[in-house]
Amino acid sequence: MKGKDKEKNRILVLVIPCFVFFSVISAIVVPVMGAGTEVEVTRFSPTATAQNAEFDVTLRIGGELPLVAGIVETIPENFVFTGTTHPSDQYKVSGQRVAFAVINETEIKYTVKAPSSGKGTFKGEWVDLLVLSPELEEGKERWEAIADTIVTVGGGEAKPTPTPAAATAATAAPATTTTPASASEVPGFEAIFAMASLIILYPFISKKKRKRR
Amino acid sequence: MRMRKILSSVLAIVLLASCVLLAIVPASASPAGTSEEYKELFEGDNELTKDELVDAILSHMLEEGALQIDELRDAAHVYVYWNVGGVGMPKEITDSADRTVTIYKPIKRIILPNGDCMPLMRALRATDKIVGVSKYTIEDTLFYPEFGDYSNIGSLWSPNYEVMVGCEPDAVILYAAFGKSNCEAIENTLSDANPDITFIWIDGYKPSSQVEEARILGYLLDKEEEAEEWIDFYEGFLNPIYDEVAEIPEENRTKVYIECWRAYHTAAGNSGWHEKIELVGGYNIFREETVDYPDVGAEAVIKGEPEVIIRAAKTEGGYDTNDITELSNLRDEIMGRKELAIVPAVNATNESVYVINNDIFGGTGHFVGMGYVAKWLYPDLFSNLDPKAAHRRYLTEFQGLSDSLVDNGVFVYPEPS
Repeated sequence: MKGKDKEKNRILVLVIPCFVFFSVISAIVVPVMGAGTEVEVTRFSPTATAQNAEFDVTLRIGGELPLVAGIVETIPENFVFTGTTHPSDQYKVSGQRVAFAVINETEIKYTVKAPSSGKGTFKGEWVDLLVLSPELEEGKERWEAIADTIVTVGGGEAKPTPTPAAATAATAAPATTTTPASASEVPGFEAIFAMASLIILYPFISKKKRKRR
Repeated sequence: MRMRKILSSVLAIVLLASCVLLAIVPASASPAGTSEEYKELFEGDNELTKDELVDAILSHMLEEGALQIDELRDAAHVYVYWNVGGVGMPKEITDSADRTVTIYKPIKRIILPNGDCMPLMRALRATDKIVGVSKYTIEDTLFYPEFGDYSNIGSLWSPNYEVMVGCEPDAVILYAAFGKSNCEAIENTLSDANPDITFIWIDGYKPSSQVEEARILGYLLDKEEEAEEWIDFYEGFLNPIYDEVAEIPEENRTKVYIECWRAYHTAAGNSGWHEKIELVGGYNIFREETVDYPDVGAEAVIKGEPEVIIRAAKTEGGYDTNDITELSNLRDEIMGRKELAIVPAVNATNESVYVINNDIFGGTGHFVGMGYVAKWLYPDLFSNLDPKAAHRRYLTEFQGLSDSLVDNGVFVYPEPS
């Protein structure tokens, strides 16, 4: 095999799997585009805090009432969730995760105790629950991410800094679409992408085999 | 060589990962029908409390619950929009076949073996819930241009069960007073495939049940406002006609022979056509027949002494032609039947034979045709009635279509004065 061909084949071997992989990912992610995003959740928190200090994290839920949503916040390791103003029967703690059920509340404030040193990243996800869609196969991909907040301990006075969300928010679209997709239509794209990849791959493999012979 | 091995491994891993992802994603989705976890929300008290909804949300967010997101959204919808006294309640109605229909979650996917309800679905602005339509809807590209690529579920007489089941419907709309055995067969077969499907038996083409059926569908589909808007328009056109003819005693009503589709095929007292004639002041000479759509002979028509003959045309005229001879030929054919020459409607003095296409005499648009019939039966009483204007409004405001369909089609012959 000539050096030029070798180079070409290496590129192909890298490009084709990537194509297949991203095709599959896009097929999975595409339904998210259709999700309604009338509701928006934004986290406000300090980006720096004193050692062992308690500080507030505020989640603002924007959108028209009525609203029903679920939120799950992941508190960084070594930070401790100490309480919330949210009704006691509408939140639940599981390890470092805190889930909130939102029924017409527009703000949730919770308190966290910082460790003695280091820094941590607050992560969160939420899902608008007052959206109906004729689409089938809805799953966790309907969850939206709240932009991460990094809090540094020992960085001085705690200052509340809004962390804009929507880093991964999907494009707004009507909650219900006029074009129904049957169960068999959506996954069809995945098969097409996979087949296209195999077709592209086939001449390359057969060429390689021929050369070996 | 080593590089090639590494690259081959990368290829294999990525392909494997892709396959795994493809396999996992559909498995994480909720199955068709209603899950046991969802049913449990209503168990015992038949209501959904705030605590039950909150528990379901928290479990879902911590990925501890079995309730998938679509059913969680259904529960949130029920709690917020079907709330009675602080709790979410199921919706319950009695349909036109006198059957109790109870739904515990919003209807999001509907198929319509009953194509006569398609315009009603449009009037309620609920077509986004439709996932499968009859072959007649698909074939009618002029009136239903947006449904050309929808799943074809066949017809009432030849249902395509594979497609119907594949549509994964929450609800199926069947006829209440038509094709009963076919509707029962469809319900039985689909129930076997998914016992959680809701079946709604309504007609959509009968004036006597139109208002109630609009309310039934509006209620079940969360389209109450749209239903009332439609009813206001529908009743706004028909009620003044009803009021006017209410004063006419039965013995003074115009005797009508309604001929449907073909010669001497008529409609009896339980049919939609009968209603449409009698509600606007006509007297159906075959009202007492026991078969809904009987074939009768010329002698029976002569004996009935109809003052007016109305021929309902199926393929002649309509939205898809502007050739009026299709309708006028039908009239000429009836006028030319020698055996009917002595019938009052046909004799030279009256010549009261009229032809009406079913595009405006069947389905939800039947009220337009009723307007024309009222004008034919009582021209003096309804000289100011304008069915054409109502037709235009119906198309533009309630069907999302252009009123050029009125100008480009032919629907009645002769036009009333």
